[in-house]
Parts: sequence; structure tokens; C-alpha cells
Amino acid sequence: MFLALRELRVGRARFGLVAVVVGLIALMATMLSGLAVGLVDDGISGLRRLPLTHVALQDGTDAVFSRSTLDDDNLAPWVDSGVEASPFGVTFLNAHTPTSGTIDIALFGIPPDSFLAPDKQARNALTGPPGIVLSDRFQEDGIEVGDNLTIVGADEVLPVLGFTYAGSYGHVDIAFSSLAVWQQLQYGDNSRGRFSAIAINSDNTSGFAATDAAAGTNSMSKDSAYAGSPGYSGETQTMTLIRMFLLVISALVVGAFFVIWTVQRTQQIGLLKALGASNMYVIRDAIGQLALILVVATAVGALVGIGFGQLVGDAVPFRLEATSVLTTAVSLIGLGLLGSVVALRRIVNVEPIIALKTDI
Amino acid sequence: MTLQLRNISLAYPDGADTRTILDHVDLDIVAGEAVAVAGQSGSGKSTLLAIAGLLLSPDDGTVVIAGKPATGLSTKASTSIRRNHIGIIYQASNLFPALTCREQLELVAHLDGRLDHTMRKRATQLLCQVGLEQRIDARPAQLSGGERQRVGIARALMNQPELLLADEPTASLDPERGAALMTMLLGQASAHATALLIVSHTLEQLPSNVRRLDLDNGRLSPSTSVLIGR
Repeated sequence: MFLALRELRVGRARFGLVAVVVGLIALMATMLSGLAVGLVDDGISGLRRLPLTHVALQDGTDAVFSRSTLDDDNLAPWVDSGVEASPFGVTFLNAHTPTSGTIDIALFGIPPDSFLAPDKQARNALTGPPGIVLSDRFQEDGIEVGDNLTIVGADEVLPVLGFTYAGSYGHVDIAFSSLAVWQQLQYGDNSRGRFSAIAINSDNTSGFAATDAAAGTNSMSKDSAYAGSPGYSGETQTMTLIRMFLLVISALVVGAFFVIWTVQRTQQIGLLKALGASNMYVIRDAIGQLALILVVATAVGALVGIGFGQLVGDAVPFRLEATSVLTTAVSLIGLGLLGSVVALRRIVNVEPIIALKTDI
Repeated sequence: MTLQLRNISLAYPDGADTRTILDHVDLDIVAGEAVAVAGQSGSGKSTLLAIAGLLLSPDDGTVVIAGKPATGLSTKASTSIRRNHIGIIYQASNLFPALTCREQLELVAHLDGRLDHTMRKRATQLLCQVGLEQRIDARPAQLSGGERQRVGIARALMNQPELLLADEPTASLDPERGAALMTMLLGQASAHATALLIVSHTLEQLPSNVRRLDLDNGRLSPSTSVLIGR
């Protein structure tokens, strides 16, 4: 990279311009990455944190919790199979609070003594008189332990028993109640022991198919169950599509720059070859120069994106994961280099004799 | 023999016809000898130089450089011979805009993976020999036309070539500066015992110890131009 580094030093304006463009794309890609992870997190973090490996839903409900209704007859084959299994209910509610008007709640109804209980304090609270344990996030609304929440529609009044880890489902903050309370809110006096799904905690899936057949359920991994979160599939597909477009645009921009830059320095490449540079030397020099611009610009863009992410706070669902940021950055660099492949053919085809015919 | 061209022929398609540029040309240059080839524009001087510099393959004939057969070689092999045995001085100085005078020379060593302290020192020495000791860290845009050509001469000598090729090296200079540059070029070629082939549209600036040839109708012959001793 003897020549490449010196060209970068002298041609700061030219290379700075393309670096700014790549940096801005990296910034946008990082922000999108944060938004994508944030949206996913907002959609399924409550479910993700439940200590389960698989979920069994009513057969034919396409992983959508709201469509699934099971009862003890469905649960029995799972319990009999020897795996750790627990019924649980999922529903969305509105509640009036004494201080902050109406709030949205994604209510998880669980047997208090089951492995689904978020922590010991919540387990103890849910074992006692009817009440509700809210996600930590609700404390920001001024809600306190002991406040009475009036559930809209059911007209039930439930005291706040405590707070537990923050999480959301379908972009709504979660809360826990006992399964009995959940059934009362969902079905009134006619619950007949119904619930939404069966939580399973087992890595041994060998008997799942037989149990599904016996129970009339469809079991799936936790990751597959995320698709049942409202809007989850649409959101992830949209964000993935936008990120893909951004990466393709980046590759095209970088490729176009590199082609133009190669055309501009055709005479220079010819002279290098006339002086005795091999094709590999010229390609290494050119690609090294581009890779350096891409790496530096992408790193700066990603760092600025991370900084912006810190400033955004809770205003939008935004969460950066090292893996996601790194994958985006590596993709930008890799696709940028891929976009430059078009120009390599031109570099190889430059004849050294042009050095005799022109000045550079 | 440093350069041996035997029976070199080259023709270009010209519409429906074929235009012969070089017609069974023979040329030998030994180490330390300077040969100048003159001819009118389009006579094939630069083509002859391109063939000698392995920048172009002839239709027929053989090229031997520093005792090594150099016809019909792969691109990689001919590039290697050019890098190690040939120095070329261009009509336009053809310097890299981003490099200083010293770096123009260091690049030649870097191409061969030999850029070390010794080669850096050699670059400085060569620039001093062509009178550019005050301009070592200047870039081409800061140099006059004559200075740029002197950098070109120093660069051509950097890889210690057995064969030096000069393509109208004084064409862009006024007669006085052109004569001074030619004197310098011949002096450097002589000092480094390098075979020198100059192609030019005129031989007027050359001293009498340079063997002169005319290229006409694709054939080389001893020059009939009047010698001007210097």
C-alpha cells in the first residue's frame, strides 16, 4: 500500500467525501440495527425472559397466543410425559390507576408455585390474596405497591402486590397474576380451567411429537413462539428489508466510487505496470486503499450511531447489541468490497503501454 | 549484449489494409553504449521502444534483454524483466502526483519488495546526481518541466537497469534545457554502464559519441543527419 497510503494523505478531500458518505450509511445502518433490536425487544422481551424452552399451543393456531385455548385435558399428557410443564395465560388489558390514568398491560397468568414465577418475591405475592405484580417500568408512571388498579371491562379491582423485572410483550409492558386471577379476568365465572398455552422447560424434545399428538397441541421452541407476538413478523421483516436495501445501496455507492476512481487513474495504473508492478500488486494497493476507507468510515459511523443511541433513551424502542452492530459493520465493509469487484477487471485489463502515450 | 532485437516486424490493421510499422528490424546495443533512433512522427519509433521495453509484443522476431530471451513470455515474466532490467524515461515525465521526488524512486524499489535503508539512500543519491538535492521532498506540482524530467531519469536508474529506454525525453523542454537534460541523461547512462536507447524526432541535441539510426518505412539504417559535436 505504498502508493495507496500516500494518495490518501494527499487526496484528503476526495477520499474524505466518500468516507463521509460511507460513514453516514454506517450511522444509518447502526441506528436501524438499534431500532430493529429495540422493536423486537419491545415485542417479545417479556416472553424471552420467561424460564421456558418450548411452548405448546392449541393445534392449528399458528403460534398466536390469543387464538389458543387449552385446558387440563391438554395439559395432562405433558405432565405425564415427565417434562417440566406449566399452564399459563396471556392477554392484553387496560386498567385505571389512581395516579396516571389508563395503562396498557400484557398480563401473564401463571401458577404461583410454578417455574414461571419471575422471582421469589413475586411468587410469595401471587400465592396470597388476588393481586398483580407489575413490570418495573410501571414505576415510572408513579404507580406504587398497594395502589388499586381497576381492570377495564371486567370491573375487577386488583391491588399492586409488587414489581418485577421489566419486559414487554406485543409492545405492552407485562404484569403477572396468578392463573386463577387471570382466568377470572379472561373468562369470568365460566373459566372451566382454561388457559392460553403450556410452558415447557426441557431440552429433551424426543417425545414432543407423541405428546403433541396425545394432547392436541403444537409445541414449538421459544424462538418460534416469538412469531406469535402481535406485529412481530411484520416488524422484523420490514426492518430486515430496510437494512438489506441500505447494505445494497452502500455496496452500489462504494462500487460506483471505486469504478470512477479506477477510470480516473487508468494512466497511473498503466505506469505502475510499466514500472514493473504485477497485477496483484496493483489490486492489493487499490483494494487496500478502499478497505481502509471502508473500515475507518464504518467504524466512525457506527460509533456515532452508538452515541446517538445513548441519547435517544426511552423515547423510542432502541437497543444496541454488540453482535448486531458488528454484523452490520462487517456486512457494510464486505458488501462495499464486493461492490468494488467490478473495477478489478478494469485494473487487470489496463495495458502498461499506455504509460508511453499519456501523462498522468 | 544488453539489447538484441532480431528480425522484428509489426503491422497494424488499417481499414481493409495492413500498415507495416516495423519491417524485419535488427538492433544490438551493448552495455555502456548509447543509440539514438530518429524518425518522423508515426514512423514507429515509440513502437520500437515499446517492443524493447516489453510493453508490446512483435508479430515476428525475437527480443533478448540482458542475455535473457524475452519474446513470447507471460505477462508476469515480462513484468519481472521490466522491473529488474529495464528503466524507462517517458516523453511526459509521468510522475505520481501524490508522491514526493524521493518516493517516486522508492516506489520502484517497493515494487520489488526491496525498499530498505540502502534503497532509500540510493534514491537520495540519485536525486542528488541529477541536481535535485534541494527538491527531494517536493511533489510534481511543485517542480518545473525540466526538474520533473530529471526525476524521471533518476527513477529509471533506481532499479540499476542494464537497459535504459528514453522516449523523446526532451520533447516538452525548450532547446537549451533539452540539451542540458540530454547531456545529463547520457552522463548518467555512461556512469552506470547502462545501454541506452533514445527515440526522438530529432538528433540535433545529441553528441557525436551516440550511434545514430534513422527509422524510415519500418526499417533501421545509419543516420544521414549532420553530426553536431558537443
